[in-house]
Amino acid sequence: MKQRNDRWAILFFLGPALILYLIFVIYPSINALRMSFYNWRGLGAKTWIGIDNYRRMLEDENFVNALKVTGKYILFQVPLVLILSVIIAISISHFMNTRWFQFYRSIIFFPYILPSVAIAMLWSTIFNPVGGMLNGLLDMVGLDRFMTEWLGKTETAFGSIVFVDIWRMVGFYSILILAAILNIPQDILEAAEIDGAKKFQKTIFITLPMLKDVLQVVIIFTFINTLKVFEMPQLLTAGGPNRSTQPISLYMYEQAFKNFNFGYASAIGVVFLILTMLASLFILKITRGSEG
Amino acid sequence: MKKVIRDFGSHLFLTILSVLIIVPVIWVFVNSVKTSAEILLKPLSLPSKLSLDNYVRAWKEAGLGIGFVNSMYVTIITVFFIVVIAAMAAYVLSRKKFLFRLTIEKIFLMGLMLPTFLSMAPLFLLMNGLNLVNSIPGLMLVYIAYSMSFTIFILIAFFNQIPHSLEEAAIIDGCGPWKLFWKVMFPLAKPGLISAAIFNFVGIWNEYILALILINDDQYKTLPLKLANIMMIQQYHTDWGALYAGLVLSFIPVTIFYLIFQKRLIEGSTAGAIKE
Repeated sequence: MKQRNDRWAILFFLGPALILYLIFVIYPSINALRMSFYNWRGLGAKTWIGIDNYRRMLEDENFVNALKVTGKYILFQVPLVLILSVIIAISISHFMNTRWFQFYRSIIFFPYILPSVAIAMLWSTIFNPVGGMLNGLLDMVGLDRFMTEWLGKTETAFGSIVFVDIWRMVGFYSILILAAILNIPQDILEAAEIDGAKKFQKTIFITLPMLKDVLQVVIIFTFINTLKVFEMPQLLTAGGPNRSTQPISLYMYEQAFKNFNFGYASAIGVVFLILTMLASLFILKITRGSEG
Repeated sequence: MKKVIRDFGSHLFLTILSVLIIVPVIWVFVNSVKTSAEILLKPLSLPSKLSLDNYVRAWKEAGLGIGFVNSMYVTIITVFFIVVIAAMAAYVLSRKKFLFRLTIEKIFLMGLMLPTFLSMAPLFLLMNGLNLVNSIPGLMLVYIAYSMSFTIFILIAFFNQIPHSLEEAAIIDGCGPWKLFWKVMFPLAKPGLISAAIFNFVGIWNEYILALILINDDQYKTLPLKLANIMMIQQYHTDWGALYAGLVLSFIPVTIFYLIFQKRLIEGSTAGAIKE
């Protein structure tokens, strides 16, 4: 009797979460795989075309371009975020047990909780050539020859987006690394000090190696998050000028919701998943591999 | 001496970063009380007089009032259901033994890996088929479903920490599974539930991509969509004053949350990754 009662209770408690999750998360994900083999525009005929969607990608200049742009975002953002967040975390850790610690930590983390749409707009007004803060400041300090249309030119648009994206997320990773620094047992550092290690040596030979696990997490997170970069290019440049800042995510959105190529968009989604998984595996492998 | 130099260097570096973070945010607040003419002609000046006109125009004419109300409504109701539904599931997954328990747990965890972009097109078609595109309840259902993995994941950890003895005592007192959960376990898991609610509040208030594909109708748009609209459609004929006021409107709820729950937000968001 009790057994049966329990079984109903389990079903009842687990039911709502499981049903919603299976319908709205798992089913569409599996369906993406199926749809990637069809030519389908949402309405009308759905024709099986095998791997044609995947073949089409190779010949689609704009897809190849988007793939390259995403690669470029990763190439710039991952190392920059990694280096910056390590430096920030180490700097903040110098103020442990002082009131500055809380102060800096709160400010550095702050952008991470703001809506990314609002961040994009905030920076687009700063970069705006008409009445924008950046050109205004440059003019004020006499550097007016650097005043430009930041988001409208190929030379500056990409860098501007990378800057805003880093501005948004570097705090989160800094705090992640900071938490790991605080977890390093103090006696190891003291022992090194007794052995005559300088501050710099302690950082290089003790702190950084002890942070290996968290740095691995940071690399995977930044990699995956940069792969997904969407709001900043969409809102700051709409992928332009000339698709020079358009990543795969934005191209896929365009295919699905502007051109209504749902089959093709799903195939791009599948490639997206494969890239995510390959990246995680690859990073795990090289960071684990160096352990010997 | 060396320590002084090192501290000075750190201070200098962190102060520069803090300025880079805080000044743009303050700039938005300052501009939100300036007139549009002042914003364009004297972008770096302080307002000549405090005026809330921008807020009135943003709320009414730019339609951000509807967006704000929609966002608040969606966020509060969604967070409530996320916490209740995820807590029920997490409790069972943490406490009961049954067939496929591990499989189900793994299926939930898988959601942390699946990128939204994979299922974007099929999700839209599914919602379209169910007549849930351009519907606030539809958007809420998707938000609840998408938040399950993460929320269940943190709540299982909380339920695991609650000692079994309390539960056993309640059972001996003749407490049924329903009462046991609501009267004993749910209150005991309160700190975890509050954390889960805070994280989901911030996440859903800020959410943009899912809303973008599921909502087209102006009257159902959430605040991020409304803001994005101002920028993409009006571009250079924008009512700048209203735009800055709108940005402030979108900052306020999360900033208040940040001021109150800062420690929980900062430490909670890193705890998961450190445990690995």
